[in-house]
Amino acid sequence: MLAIKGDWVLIEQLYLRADQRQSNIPSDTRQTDFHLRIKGFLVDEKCVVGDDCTIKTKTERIISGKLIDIMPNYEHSFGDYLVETAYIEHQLRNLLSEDSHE
Amino acid sequence: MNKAQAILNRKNEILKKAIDVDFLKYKQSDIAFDYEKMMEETGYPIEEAMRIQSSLGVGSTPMLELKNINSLIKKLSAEGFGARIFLKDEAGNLSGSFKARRAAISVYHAKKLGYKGVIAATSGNYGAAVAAMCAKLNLKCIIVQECFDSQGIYQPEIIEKARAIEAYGAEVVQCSVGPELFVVFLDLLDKTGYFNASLYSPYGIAGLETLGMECVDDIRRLTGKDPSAIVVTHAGGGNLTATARGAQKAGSNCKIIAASVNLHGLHMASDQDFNRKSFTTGHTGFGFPFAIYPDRSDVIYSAARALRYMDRYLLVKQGEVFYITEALAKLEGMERGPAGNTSLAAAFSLAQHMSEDEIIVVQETEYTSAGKHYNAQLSFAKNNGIEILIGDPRNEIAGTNIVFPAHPRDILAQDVDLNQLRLSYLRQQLKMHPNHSFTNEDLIYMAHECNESVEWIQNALIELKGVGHETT
Repeated sequence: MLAIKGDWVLIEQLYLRADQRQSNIPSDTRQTDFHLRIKGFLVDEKCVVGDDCTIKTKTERIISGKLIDIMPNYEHSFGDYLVETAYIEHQLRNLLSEDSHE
Repeated sequence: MNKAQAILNRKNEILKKAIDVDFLKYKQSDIAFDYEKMMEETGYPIEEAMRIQSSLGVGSTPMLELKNINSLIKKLSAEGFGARIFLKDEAGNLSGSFKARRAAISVYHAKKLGYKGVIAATSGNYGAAVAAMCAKLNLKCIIVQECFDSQGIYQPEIIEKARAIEAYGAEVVQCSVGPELFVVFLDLLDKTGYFNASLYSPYGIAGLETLGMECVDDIRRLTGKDPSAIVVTHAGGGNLTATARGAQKAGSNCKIIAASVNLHGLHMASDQDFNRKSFTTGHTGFGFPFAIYPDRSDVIYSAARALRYMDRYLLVKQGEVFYITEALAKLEGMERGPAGNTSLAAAFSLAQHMSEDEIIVVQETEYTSAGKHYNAQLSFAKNNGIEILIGDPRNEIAGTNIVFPAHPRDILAQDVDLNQLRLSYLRQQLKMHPNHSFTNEDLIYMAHECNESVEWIQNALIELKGVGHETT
């Protein structure tokens, strides 16, 4: 995948290597690198996903990192239909339609 | 020295440039500072905060009686019991949550001081709130959020918040899991010269005092009486602190009750636990540490000091909050939350043990959407191997399962022993200042911090240290 100058892209920066992380954090976290992901407009003429590039962010910072996505979009959703919670509405309506205290 | 340590060593210098509060002016000793004086001299008077917010599309939100939920509460309660719940629909603020109140004052203040932009560190609704206020006031904005684990998997709720922030034109810097986010935040403040729109500044808290005051005023107007209690979803402490201060300024002595989702067993800085929780805020992972040690935040002295104002602290389970979120949609036509509904779940339980003449205010809602919606959270949880069960929520184990109550009577908020919390506060002080001789000023300060008497503090210190302590 090739991005060209001016494309809206997502880059990743290796901010701290695992061995540079704070000592007072859980051991599972300490074994991982600390990354940043930032979006911006590609400053370079072109760049392939996986290569290093430079971008201009929304606040006009010029920063560099590895190109990981071109024209990143949002794919989060309202989730799946959940059979587990289907009882709630029925239960609440039934309780409200009962005449007196339980 | 590595990069992180070099930046952390300059913390005070960087923070001083990024916020105009001379915190050290209020220092009284290594332990104590003059909290009230700091709030008085650096915050905004409540009337001014209301004027600013009104001009920015913030505040004066509807107060709604939850009539069907209240009918249900009556059915579940013994004769004469079943307090009525009113809900402050804070989703009506610009950006969709009460956080707009904090952001309005912080961003207004940054503009007034001539800053070109603001930065805030938050994975929550506050990011969207700051971004929206910056859009209105023509300031640049960077939000730093903890967002994805080491496998690159994003929490869906935080993706949605990033989307909203970007929709309002701000820049989002997303971090993998870990407290080094604070280093990134300092680094950005240093490089940009922007204002620190901290959640914990006196401006943020002053901005939210309007909510506490409106809660009391609304109930007086609607019912002719004062609320008996305001239930507040508690995380970093600002929501509770400011609501309590606002209610006090309205002349109310209602009880201030904290509520958090119980995430016992999950570590907030753990990469593996990060995507095993279904709530990104309003939970014990923030609620306990910030109550015990408020100054862990991004300012020298935090204006959010929950233990000073907490009359009770109730915990609810994830399944209980999700059930009540569904009840709010199906019975009241309000699709909100979920995290903001933590206090509603606690209030639902609490109301059944209060008189039918009493009124409880649940003081916030938040907008819901893709990612935030509980179906999104539950689907994400299931994909991460978390079991969804129906039964007794007390059997819920955070990170392993989510237990929906089999019946609404099974929603039972659990009390936190506030004395244990106060002892933890004192233990933290002893740990940080092992050789400190407590002065009378220190003891009075700690008494205020714990909402207890000086005598209680003295006895507790003796108990904790195992021997009598010295005072000078």
